[in-house]
Amino acid sequence: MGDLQPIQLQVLAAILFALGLATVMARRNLFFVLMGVELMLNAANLSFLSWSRTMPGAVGLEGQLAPIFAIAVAAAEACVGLAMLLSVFRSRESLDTDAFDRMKE
Amino acid sequence: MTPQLWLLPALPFIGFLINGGLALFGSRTESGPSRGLSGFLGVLFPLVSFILVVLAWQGLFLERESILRLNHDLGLGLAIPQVKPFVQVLWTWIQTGELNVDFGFRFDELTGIMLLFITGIGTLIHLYSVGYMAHDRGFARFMAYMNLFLANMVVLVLGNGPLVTFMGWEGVGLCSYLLIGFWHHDASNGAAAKKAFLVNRAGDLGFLLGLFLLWQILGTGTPLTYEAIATWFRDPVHAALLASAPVAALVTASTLLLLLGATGKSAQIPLLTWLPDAMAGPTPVSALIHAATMVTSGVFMLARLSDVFAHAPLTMEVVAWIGAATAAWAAVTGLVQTDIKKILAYSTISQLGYMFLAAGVGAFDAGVFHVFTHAFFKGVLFLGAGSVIHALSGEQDVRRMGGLWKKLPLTFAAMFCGWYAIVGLPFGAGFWSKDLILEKVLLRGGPALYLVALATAVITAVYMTRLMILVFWSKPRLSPDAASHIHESPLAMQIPMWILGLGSLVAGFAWADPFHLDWFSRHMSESVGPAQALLGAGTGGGPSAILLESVGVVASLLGILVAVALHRSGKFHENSTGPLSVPARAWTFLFDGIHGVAGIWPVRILSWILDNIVQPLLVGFARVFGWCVEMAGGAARMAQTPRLRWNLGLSVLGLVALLLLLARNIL
Repeated sequence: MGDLQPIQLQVLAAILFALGLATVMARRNLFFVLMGVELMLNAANLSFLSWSRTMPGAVGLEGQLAPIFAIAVAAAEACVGLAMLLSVFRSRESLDTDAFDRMKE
Repeated sequence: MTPQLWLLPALPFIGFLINGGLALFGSRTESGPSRGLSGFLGVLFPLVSFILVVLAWQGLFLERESILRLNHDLGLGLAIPQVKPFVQVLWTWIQTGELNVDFGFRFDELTGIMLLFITGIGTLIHLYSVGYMAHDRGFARFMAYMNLFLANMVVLVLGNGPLVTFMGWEGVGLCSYLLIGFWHHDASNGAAAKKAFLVNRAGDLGFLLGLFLLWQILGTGTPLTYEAIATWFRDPVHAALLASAPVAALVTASTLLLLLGATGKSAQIPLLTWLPDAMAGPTPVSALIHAATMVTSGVFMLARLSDVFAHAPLTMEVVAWIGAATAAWAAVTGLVQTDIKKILAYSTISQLGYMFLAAGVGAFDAGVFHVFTHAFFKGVLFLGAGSVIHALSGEQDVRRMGGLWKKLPLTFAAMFCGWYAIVGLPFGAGFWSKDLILEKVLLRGGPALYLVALATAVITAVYMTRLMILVFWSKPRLSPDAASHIHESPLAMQIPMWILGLGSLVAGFAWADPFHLDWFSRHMSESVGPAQALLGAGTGGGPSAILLESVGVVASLLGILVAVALHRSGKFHENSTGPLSVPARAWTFLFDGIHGVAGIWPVRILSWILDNIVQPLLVGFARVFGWCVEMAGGAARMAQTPRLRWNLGLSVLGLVALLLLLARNIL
């Protein structure tokens, strides 16, 4: 077993992203949709990290910085997203995305 | 120093705004708007405008006069300068790549003469209206329309180019419409107003099309001002171009179309049917608009564009024959009318025919001179007729008048002056201008036109004398009701009549060759001189002026004698009361019939076809087209799903497609 090659990490990130996207598109429960979004965010983070290894110097450092911001934003997003989810559930009594086809009632 | 020319139309326009406001806000009150205030303002603004015209007119000659005085007093030989017209460009009106028009005014001698009598006689008739309309509820509205008319008429005459003139041209048409239909409680007045408006619209179309063609001839480099047009056509450089067949044809077409516009405004064949109907308006309107000023704008336009018309011999021929035919036809029609205002209306058409005839034979100055004298005597005749109608509480039928010279001596005296002038008795205004036209027609137009014009002069004397006999001289035939209320008109109506009556006796001396008075022709030479020179000199040769004038006077006397003889033998049928006889009706409404056959019915048939065949086709096409669009829209709407997951999926698909496209370009 040698070191992980950057290309392998990229493929892994792509797979994770595709899984996340598939979750968002396939699941109708808003809760799982949010989880799919998290998965896609983290796939992007992984991609950033693996690129940072192949880039030299300061550019490589930027590749490590971006995921830190992304994680912070993702935490905020999860917070706001869950809060909205609760509020939507209270007004609609449903978490089915296909039920949300009106801008307002 | 250029005077502020914009004030000339602006002042009456301010009068219009104030009087219009008074009419609007005063109409709710019990007594209506204040007559004193609106009458005072309505006369004041035209009067100030007239004073400014006089000042500008004097300013025009200031430089030349002072040089002449210097030469005379100090014995110097300084060159006498040309009279330079005042030009005031106010703003750029139209600015496109090819067409650039400035809105401006131009005050030269032709304009000055027109303005002097337009604002002068206009002011007098405004004053007359104060008396005539005093009992009318719509007094302020009337004064407002009259002021607006005057403003537009000044714009028409003062414009520095045909487009500005056209603006005034349309404006006076509008005011004519408003004033003919002033008493709109009677539906027939509204119909007359509509007719005047529509017939004029046909002429205006000709004016516009002719203008477009003229612009084509001039090319895009020449600005559309009278100065530039005159310079272009006078320039010998363009002589060869103008002689070439296509350009000559274009000039002929353009001038014929312009002529159509002139015939509309000046009530000539073929567009003359509206003027007799226009008599439905109040009498001051008939005097100001439909006799003295607006209807002469066609003649003014011919004179203003004389340089263009001079290059279209065919058009000139047409103008002359239209004038002669109209003069003769309208004079004969005047013989059989029973309405005092209708007689004067046909007389106006006939006199306008003389002006066209003069212009057609290339004597534009004589034509405009007749415009000038006609404004006086036709003005006083209409004002007198109005005074008679006023005195008889609205009676207009000459068969129920008679013997009025004892009852209305002042009105009679004024109208006598007008009659004296129009029949052409020696030294009256009409004597000088009509005989001048007859003289020019014989010299330049040939014997055929001359004989028509001379015969018309005889008929003119007959119908005008008939009018005077039936109204003033014969035995009274008044209805008892009218006879009991008869009264001489108030001072506000008398003063304008006296002034105009005096004017119709002396105005002719503005151009009296036998007395070596040539004030008028001197001032016209700058505007129409080159065109007249081009069309051939023609003052020399031919019978002497004295002989021709004698023939003219003999024609007038003959006409008067014929009228007296006809009256003696009872041919005027003044005691009958029925409508016009059948042949008289046929003759009077000849052109209405022709309009019906040649104009109205084809339009009706065309509109039937459009309404019943073309319209359904278009509607069907529109329906099918709309249905197709609806289907396409429905198909496209299916992509706009409200499902969140579908939206996302489609955006991802789109993103992928974009990325693939990008990748393919990069690789």
